[in-house]
Amino acid sequence: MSISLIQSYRNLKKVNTLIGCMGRVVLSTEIKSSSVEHEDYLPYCFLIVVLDSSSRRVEVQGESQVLFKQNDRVILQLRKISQADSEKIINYGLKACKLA
Amino acid sequence: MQIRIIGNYISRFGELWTSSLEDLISESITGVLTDSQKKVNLSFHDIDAIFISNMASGLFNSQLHLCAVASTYFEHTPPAMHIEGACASGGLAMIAAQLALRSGRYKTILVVGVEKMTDVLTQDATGFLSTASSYVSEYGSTFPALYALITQAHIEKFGTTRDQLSSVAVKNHLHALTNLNAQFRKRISLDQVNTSPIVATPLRLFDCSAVSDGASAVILSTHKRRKYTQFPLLSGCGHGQDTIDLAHRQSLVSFNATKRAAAQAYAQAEINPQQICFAEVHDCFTIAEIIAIEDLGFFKPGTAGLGTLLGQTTYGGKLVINPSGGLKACGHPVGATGVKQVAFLSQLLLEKRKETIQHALAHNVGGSGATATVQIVSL
Repeated sequence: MSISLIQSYRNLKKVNTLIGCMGRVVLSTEIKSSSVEHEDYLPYCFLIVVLDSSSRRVEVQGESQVLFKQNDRVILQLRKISQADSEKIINYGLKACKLA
Repeated sequence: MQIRIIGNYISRFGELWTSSLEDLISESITGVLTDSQKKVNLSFHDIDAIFISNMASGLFNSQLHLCAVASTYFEHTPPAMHIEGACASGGLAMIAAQLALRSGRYKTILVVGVEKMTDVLTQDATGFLSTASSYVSEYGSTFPALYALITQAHIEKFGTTRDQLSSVAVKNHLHALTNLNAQFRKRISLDQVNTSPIVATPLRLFDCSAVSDGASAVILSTHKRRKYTQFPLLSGCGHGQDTIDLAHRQSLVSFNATKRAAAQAYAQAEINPQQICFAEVHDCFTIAEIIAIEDLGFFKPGTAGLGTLLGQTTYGGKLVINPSGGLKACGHPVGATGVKQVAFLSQLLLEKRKETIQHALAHNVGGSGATATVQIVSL
């Protein structure tokens, strides 16, 4: 997926506010069939997570090929969501990773 | 002011390989005008305006500006508007048309719904449809995944079972057997649904409506001509809205947008849910029908799944839900669905006309419950 510098900048504004946040899984579904853009991650979970810091709820992809259950503790980390394009822009999003 | 449905047309729904987007628009316009000509001797020149609903022809067919496409079929090129609200596009076009009629600006309006989805690969269609979710907040999700989260919440709160979910699909496929335009005219069993492949846990393939091509159209009029009075009335309508993403919703086991739309529609029609005989509801996934018939007031929260399993939503039950087969079995060409629901109910009421007034309800949802419309058709 090609993405412009300004789109990447806007996406990172949201990522910056959430990176490193910890929370708890409220609901989880394991996706077995996705759009082309996300096929490389399959199967992956899609989660609703409630953050410890603010009780705010966010929706986020889980780490690829990891099964998440309700009440699992997670931390939000960077995920590379596109390779470097011709302008050498790499786009990043978020993923939830399980905390031990 | 009374708004009557003086013509209706529904194309066949399914993988219509020989029909383009333009062919479907043309077919539905010709079909509905032929129907209205037979019923009330309406002509092309009687159409004052067109409202056309479509979600994603820019992505699926590289064609936008559908208002101009539709108007081109008329010598007098009436004013036209393209309405988009994801899967609720058709319902919104119906609402917009009624508001335009009630403003007094127009007397007779053609509403067309269309979507041509099967020219692309399923994965591409999944990506195009996911543009109806929040690109930023729900990145990586799919519509089955969002409804799967809603299903998990319903199971957790009410103990909804796999058989209850499956019974929605089984019943809707049974209803589609008698609908000649339906995409899937094939009986299925609980076991088939229960063992079909997982798409997003706990939703299985047969819990989901399929991508589909199709078009539908109705003609609405406020003229007080005597011969118009034998046709169904649009006696009430409502439109509700909620947040686009699930994370900010007050509840995941009920859609506020549906409740708001239903309250407006019942109030305008001056009826209550118990007076509805037939309802076309938005069953894009089996859980969506269960939640819809609770939110619309046909069942108490948490009881619709069992009611469906016990046969209360089919002929001989409490009321008939999705007599066309719904989105699940009749098909879900996104932009066509909301218009098709009203067209189908209008025809059904004409065929099952009784001496006493009968009411039917059309419920159309966009996204994962963010947009909802309700229309009440009475005869």
